[in-house]
Amino acid sequence: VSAQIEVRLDHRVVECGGTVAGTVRWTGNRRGEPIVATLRYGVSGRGDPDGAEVARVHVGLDEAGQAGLRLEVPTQGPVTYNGQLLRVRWQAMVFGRGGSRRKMNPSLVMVEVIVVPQGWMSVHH
Amino acid sequence: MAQDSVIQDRTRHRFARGAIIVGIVLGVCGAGCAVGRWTGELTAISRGQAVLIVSLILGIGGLSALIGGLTLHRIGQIGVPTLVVPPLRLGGVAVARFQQQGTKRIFATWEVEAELEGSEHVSYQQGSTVSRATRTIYHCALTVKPDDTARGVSARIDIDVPLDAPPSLSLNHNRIQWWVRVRVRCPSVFFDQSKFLVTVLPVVADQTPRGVA
Repeated sequence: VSAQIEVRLDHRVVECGGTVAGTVRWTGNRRGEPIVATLRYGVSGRGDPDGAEVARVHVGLDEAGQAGLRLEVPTQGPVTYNGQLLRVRWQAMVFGRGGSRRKMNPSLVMVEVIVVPQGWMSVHH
Repeated sequence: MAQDSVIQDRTRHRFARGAIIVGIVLGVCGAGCAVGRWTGELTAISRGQAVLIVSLILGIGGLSALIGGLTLHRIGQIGVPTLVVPPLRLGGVAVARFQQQGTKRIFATWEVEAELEGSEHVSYQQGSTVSRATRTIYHCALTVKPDDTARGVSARIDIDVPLDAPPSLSLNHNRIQWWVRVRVRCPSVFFDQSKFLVTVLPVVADQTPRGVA
């Protein structure tokens, strides 16, 4: 049985140079495998895909627990974008590997994050 | 704090050098063909065909070298177009300076037009070939204020960056590029357009103009 993971983000919209913050809760991590959180962007569309993982943190090792989550967004972005030929999306992912190692059955929770330019919030709110 | 960028459009230099190199290569090929034919090493073609081929190769080569040489000469007279541009922020107005050196004789009267263009560029592999696609996502004329200078062309350009436009993006297969195109209209310079790749930062500007002194 895989670990059960729940992710709650404080905000889904984050500025470049800001922090994706929230809380991770998990249970069923019986083998004490690391619960890992990552932040990555991907570019899809007509062109070949691009993308990168920009942040990775270890959240915990316990069988069950709760921990704060902080993932830094680079100041240079890129920002979330939906254009004519390309689309930039950001995702925060939290995953662990509960149960049998042979099954290689990772728990995975993905949450879409919207990255906007620095100063965008003060202009639009 | 980011510094002003000095961007030069050297496409004419590259074009001129390329044309001269093509001219030299074709000239050598033409001479080689001529020598080979008349020394009897190339026997598959008649003398008439050989004259035609060699003339053609030498003609194209000579023309390429001439165009390259004239372009270099013209660059020497009108200088390299240069744009000094402060950091570009979304929703802001940045004041850039365009300069192109030249003699009073060449730039007796002149007029400058400028525009900002944003575009998406993608590349994708299809079998063994790489295809590319481009879409223009923004296009706007810019306000130009001419400066009176002793030599050449100088103007201040107000670059209005739209607030909701995407910032510059440069990845392996996907790019968002912003260009400032400047056209100098002057009787002795035929269709002189320069283009400058500028960077739009993922930062929303405060609403006060920033610029070069």
